[in-house]
Amino acid sequence: MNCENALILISGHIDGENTPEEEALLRAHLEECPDCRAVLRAYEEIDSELTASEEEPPQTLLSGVMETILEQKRETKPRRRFIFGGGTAIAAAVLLLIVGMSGALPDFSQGKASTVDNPTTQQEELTPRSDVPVEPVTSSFELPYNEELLVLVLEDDPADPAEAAIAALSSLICEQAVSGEYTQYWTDAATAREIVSCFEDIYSITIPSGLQEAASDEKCVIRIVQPE
Amino acid sequence: MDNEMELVHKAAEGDHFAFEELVLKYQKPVYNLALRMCSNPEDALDLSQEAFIKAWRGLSSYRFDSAFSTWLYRLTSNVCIDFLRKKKKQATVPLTIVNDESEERELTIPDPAPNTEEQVITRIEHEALAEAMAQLEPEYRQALTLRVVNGLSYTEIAELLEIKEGTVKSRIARAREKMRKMMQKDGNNSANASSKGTERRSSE
Repeated sequence: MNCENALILISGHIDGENTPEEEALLRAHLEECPDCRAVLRAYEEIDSELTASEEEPPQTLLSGVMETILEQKRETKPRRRFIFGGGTAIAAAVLLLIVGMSGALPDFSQGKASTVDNPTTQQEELTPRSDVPVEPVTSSFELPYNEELLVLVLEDDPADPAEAAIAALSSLICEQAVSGEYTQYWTDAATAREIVSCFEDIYSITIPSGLQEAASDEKCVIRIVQPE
Repeated sequence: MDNEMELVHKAAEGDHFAFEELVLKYQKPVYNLALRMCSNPEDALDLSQEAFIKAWRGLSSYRFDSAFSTWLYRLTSNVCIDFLRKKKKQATVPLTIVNDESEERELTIPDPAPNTEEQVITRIEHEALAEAMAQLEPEYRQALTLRVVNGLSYTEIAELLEIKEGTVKSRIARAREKMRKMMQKDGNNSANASSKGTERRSSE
């Protein structure tokens, strides 16, 4: 066997893809040919450099893919299994979805609300801006609104409460209105979109543009209100 | 593998959480396949995303007769090859000329150095390796990457590319030999074979 013919066997040897006969031929040649032994070492070095030069993909790869996919899901609205509850559908937790900036929020609060002692750092960061017109409030409960705060209001179903049905809510920071009229969760727009996207599949709700266009880490409030 | 099949089934039914897990699992090999194929990180990112999105859309056509990874790498590979072909076609210098009827049209002259873009490697470590890869023909790059980076066997690569195993073996061997020669020139490869090594010589 000459060196030219040996090259393909050297390559095959590295990949473990030679037949036993080919291996025997190669071994015999290598014993007598230092140049081909050097070729073998060179190929092995190329392989290990290729492996060593593997890079971690940027984080935007995953987020870019998932954002596009969720957009497409919205557009096609096929019938799907409900995903959160391990295969069982939420009965009727969402009948109403309102997203507004703080100024446009309908007033659901009629009683006093107590806040849990500084539950989040997020709350500390949000302070009312003096130039933002304050909506007249009939209750004494005050949320630290600012212009950028997104609010989603979901109407609950006492027969199948959202807190129980939506697993993601349990990991969010929440505060209860004393009157029991709503529970409020602090999260970010990305999580809110995920939660809403699960409802979309059943109720053909589209993510409101305010929420859709928000940056993923933009502060967001989800209010689960009890029906009248 | 059972768990992966379950994920794929769920994703095929529209479960995007299941698909997300598949993306997490395969994003590194897919990205590195694209990176080696097209030689720059920006294109690799775009092409990887395109591949996953196509995978999501095309899951209904995945017939579970080959490994999911093979199917996914084939998809990625095709996206890259299409991109490289388009890039090659676009490497033209347009000129407008006016013909007898006073109509303008573009005169295209093929770019005499179509590989120029591929030689601009900025952020990749192992520059000599990356440059050498970029200079390989796309089919050689593809075969070598699928073997060494993605860890596929000759059989799997043959199935993926729809070519014979013998062709896979020779493409990979040629890729390695070309790489060795190119890196030898740069002086970066310490294990240089002597120039005599490639001459015809028989030994007993």
